[in-house]
Amino acid sequence: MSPNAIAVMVKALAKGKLGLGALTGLERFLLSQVALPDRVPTMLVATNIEPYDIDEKYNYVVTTTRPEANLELFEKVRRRFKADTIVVPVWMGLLTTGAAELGTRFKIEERRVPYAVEHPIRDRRDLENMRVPAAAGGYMKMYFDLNLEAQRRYPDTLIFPVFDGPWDLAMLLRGDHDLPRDLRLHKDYVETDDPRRRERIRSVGDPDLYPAIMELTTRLAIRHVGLAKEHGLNLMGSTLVDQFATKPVLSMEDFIRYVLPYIERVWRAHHKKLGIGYMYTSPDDIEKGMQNGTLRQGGGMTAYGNYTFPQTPDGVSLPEYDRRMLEMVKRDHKCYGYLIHGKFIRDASKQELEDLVQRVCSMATEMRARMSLGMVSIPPGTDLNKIDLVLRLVEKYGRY
Amino acid sequence: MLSGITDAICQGNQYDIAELLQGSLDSGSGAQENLAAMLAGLQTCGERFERGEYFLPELMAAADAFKAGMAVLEPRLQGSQREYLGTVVLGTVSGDVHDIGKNLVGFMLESSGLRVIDLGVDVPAEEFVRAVREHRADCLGLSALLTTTMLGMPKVMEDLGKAGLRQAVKVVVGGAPVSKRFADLIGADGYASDAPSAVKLVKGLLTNPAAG
Repeated sequence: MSPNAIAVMVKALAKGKLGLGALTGLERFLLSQVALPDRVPTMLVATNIEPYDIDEKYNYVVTTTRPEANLELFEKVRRRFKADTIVVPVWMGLLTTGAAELGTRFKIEERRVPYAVEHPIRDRRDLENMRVPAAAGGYMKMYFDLNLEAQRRYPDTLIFPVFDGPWDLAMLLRGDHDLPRDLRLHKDYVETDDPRRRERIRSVGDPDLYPAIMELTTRLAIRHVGLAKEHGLNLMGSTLVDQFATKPVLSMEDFIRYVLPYIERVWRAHHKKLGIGYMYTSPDDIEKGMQNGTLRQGGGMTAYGNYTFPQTPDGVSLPEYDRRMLEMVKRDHKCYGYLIHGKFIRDASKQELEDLVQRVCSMATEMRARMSLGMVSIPPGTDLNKIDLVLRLVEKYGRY
Repeated sequence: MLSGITDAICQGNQYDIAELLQGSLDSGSGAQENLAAMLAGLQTCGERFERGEYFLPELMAAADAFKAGMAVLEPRLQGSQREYLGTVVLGTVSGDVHDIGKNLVGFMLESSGLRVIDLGVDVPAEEFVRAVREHRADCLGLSALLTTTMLGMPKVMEDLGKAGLRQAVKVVVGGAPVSKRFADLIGADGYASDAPSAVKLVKGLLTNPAAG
C-alpha cells in the first residue's frame, strides 16, 4: 500500500478513536479495510453506469475517441452521487488491456461497451510475430493518461489502473473458443507418461501452444504494469484481473496448477504490490483459495466479495451466504465487499431495496463485522434515483 | 466395450475414441448401440458439470470426442433417425458476441437428449424467427451477457408475435444481466440463471407446456 494511503488510514484511525471529526468518504472506505469505521462505506464504480444514462451527449464512440469525455463523465458521476468512494474513470471496456495494440480487433459502437470480435493468435507463428511493447501506445496509453490525470484531479478518491492478467490477456489474444481447448490438450499431454498417447495428442493439436501463449501474456502483463509505473501512476489498489479463469470456465484446481504460476510471476516481478483478482463463486471457494499462499497474500481488498456468487432469480446474491461471509471476514480480519447487482436495482421496488440494504447492513452492524457496499452493472434505463436511495439507506441502516 | 466408449466421451478422450468405436463395431455391436453409449457419456459429463466436478475444458473435450466419434458412426447411421425430446433453437442476441454461457447451455441440453440448433452469437431477431419456423422448434433460448444487448430480447419476442409463432414456441432467457422479473416483463416463458437450471427449465416446459 502506498505511503499516502497509509497516512489516510492512520489519520482515519486517529479520527475514529479520538473523536477528531467526521471521516471523509475515502477515510471511511480505507479504514473499513483494517478496522471498524463509523458506518458501512459505500462504493460506486462509475463506469458501471452507461455513459448515455449519465448524459445523453456521451457514448462509447465518444469516450474512445475523445479522452477528456471520460473525465467529464466521471466528474458528472461524482457530482451526482454521494458515495464514499467513486472509482474507475475510463469508459472503454477491454480496449484498455493492451490486446488491441497486439491485433485483437474490437468493435466500437455508440451504445455497447467495446468488445473483441477477432483474435490474432491462430497458431505458433502468430506468437513469434508478437512483441512485448517498449512503450505504452494506442488505447493503453490513453488509459494510463486518463488514470494519471484522474489521480491528479481527485486525490480524495481511489483511482488506480487495473491490468488484465495472463489468462485474460490470452483469452483476448487467442479467443475463448480456443484457449480452453489449448489448455485441455496441454493438460492431457503433461499428465500422461505414455509416449503413444502423447503422439496421439500431437496428432489432434499442439500441446505446447498453451504454455507458449501464457509465456507471452505473462511477459506482456509484467511489462504493462511496468509501463504504468514508468507513466508515473500510483498503483495502490491495482489488481491483476483474470475474471475468465474462474468457474464455470476453469476449476480452482486447474486455475492453481495451470494459471496461477503465471500470475505469480507477474505478482513477484512487481514485488507483490498488486492484488490478484481471482473471482470466488462461494464462501467455500474462498476458504479453499485462502489455503493457497499466493492467493491468500495476493487477495488484496476485494478477496471476500459476492460479485460472482450464485444469485436468486431476482438477481440478489444468495442471502444464505451473507452471515457466513460476515463470520469469515471477522475471523480473518477482512472486509466483506458486498455488491448489489444493477439488475436488482433496476427491477426492485423502493421497499425491496430498503429490505435488502436493511438486511445486510443490520447483519454487519449487529455482528460488528466490516463490510463495504457497492453497486455494479447498472443496466440501461435504470432509474438512477435508486442509486441515491441505496446510498441513503446505508446511511440509515449501516451505522456501527 | 460400450462402457469404455461411454467413459471415453465423458473423459473427453478425443484421441482414442475412433479406435474404440472401430473395435466395438468390428466385434459386432451396432452403430445405434455405440451412439447410445456415446450419448450416455455426454449425459454423465453434463451431470458432472452440474455437480461442479467438470468445467468448460472438460465439456469442450467431451464435445470434441463426440464429434470425432460421430465421424466414425455417421456413415453407418444413415437412414436411421436419432430420437430427441424436442428441438431448441439457441443463440446470443444481436450485438452480443459472448457465447461461453450459451455454449454450456447448448452442451447440457444436447447431452440431455434435446436437439439443439445453435445460431451462434450476434443473432438478429429475424434470424431467430426464421430458425424457429424452419426447425419447428419447441423452445427458443436467448442469451445476453451485456446490460445493453439484453434489450434485444424484447425485439425477438415482438418479431415472434408478428410472425404468428409466439404461441408455438416456449421462450427462455438467460445471461448475467437478465433476471426472472425481466423475463416476466418481456413475456418470456422462463428464466434460468445457469446451464443446469436451463436444462431443468426447458425440459419442464416441454413436458408440461402449461408451466412457465
